[in-house]
Amino acid sequence: MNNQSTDRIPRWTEWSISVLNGMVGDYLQERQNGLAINMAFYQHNRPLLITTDNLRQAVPNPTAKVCLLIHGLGCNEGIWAPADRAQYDPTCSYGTSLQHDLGYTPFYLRYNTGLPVAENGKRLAGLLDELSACYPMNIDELTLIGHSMGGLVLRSACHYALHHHQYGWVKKVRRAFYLGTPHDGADLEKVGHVTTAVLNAVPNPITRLIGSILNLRSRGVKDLRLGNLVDDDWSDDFPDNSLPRRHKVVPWLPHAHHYLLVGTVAEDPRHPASRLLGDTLVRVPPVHRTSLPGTKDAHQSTVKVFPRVHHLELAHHTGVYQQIKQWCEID
Amino acid sequence: MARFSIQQVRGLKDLIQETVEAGTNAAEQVHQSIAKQPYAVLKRIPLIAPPARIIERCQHALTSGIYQSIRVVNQVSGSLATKALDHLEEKPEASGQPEQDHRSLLP
Repeated sequence: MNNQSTDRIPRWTEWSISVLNGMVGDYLQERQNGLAINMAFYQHNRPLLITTDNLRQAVPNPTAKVCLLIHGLGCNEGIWAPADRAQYDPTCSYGTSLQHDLGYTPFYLRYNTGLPVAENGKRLAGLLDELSACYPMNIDELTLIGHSMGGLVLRSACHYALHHHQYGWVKKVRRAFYLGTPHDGADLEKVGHVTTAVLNAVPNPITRLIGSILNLRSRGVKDLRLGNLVDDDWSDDFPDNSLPRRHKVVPWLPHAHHYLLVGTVAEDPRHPASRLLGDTLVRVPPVHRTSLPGTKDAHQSTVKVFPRVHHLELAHHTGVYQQIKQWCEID
Repeated sequence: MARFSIQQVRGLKDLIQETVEAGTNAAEQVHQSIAKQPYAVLKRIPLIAPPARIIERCQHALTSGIYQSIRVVNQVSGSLATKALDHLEEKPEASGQPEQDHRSLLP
């Protein structure tokens, strides 16, 4: 691979910065640190300033169907490329495949995953409003694909766009795909929360120090404990302001189809390891989640389980893409 | 080859400096609170209490001095790094070739 092609994909420097943003991105933002990532659509490893002229040049053949890919915690848009070095092609992703197979125009988001999900949701809602205003043609259909935390961010963006800003783009959302999204919270963060509380409760300076270090994790990470989507989860008068207090139930976007794609560590999804660990980070949703009340999918199954597909693999797995494509082909 | 923009290097420098400062403060606090414990016992014994108080004060001063020296070295290193980065940032402008910012925008 030559230098020009490696410049077009996130390298270890960008990956390090993305991981750092996931860990302490809220602190970086607060300190106005140069390592804090500003939310933007990225193309060829560079941010895309949204103006009509820029979009005409960056998207020479726009279509009325747009898909947006939103990565998860500590990642960037490089997560959508296949991890297998032998088949590594930075230009290959669910976005480019949907473009090739079904005529979608893909956009890739990069953002500071350490910020609260609600904050990223509000920013994404604004960014999509700019995109729809400057896009060279009318957008007829918007498909959103979120991996892990990205699924929470897209739900939060839809919530703010619909209930707070009345942005027009939200009416164009036809499908939302959630790949390993912890809608009911992530067990690892639940463990982290309990561990921190226990360490801080022990009257010993060393355990308290370790507890304080663990508590430095970003607000984005803390939002994963309950799958928080909105500001209200943080805004209570709570003694420890560094933890979300409650979880407000946010309804699913009513006019869109919602699809949950999850992985399991074992071949059999009913295996105890699969039930306990899910895809290693996110568990398979409970039975009631196989239909989503209040949505177009209220009476049909919208969950697909992929055995032996781990959490990160969900973002670049052939089987997952085939399922997304199949659902996209249903009118 | 790894490439960071000046803005990112500056951010990395700030982050390292703030981490060292916070880490030093936290380590000093834990160190002093643990060191207090044996002195608290010794100071209850009448014969040993007077020299224990003197040794505790010496130990406290010595420990504080060491941590303070780490903070000073950290601040001086940070200032030097800031000056070096300022110099690097001015250099391309002086030569008439503005540095290409990593965050520059398409197209």
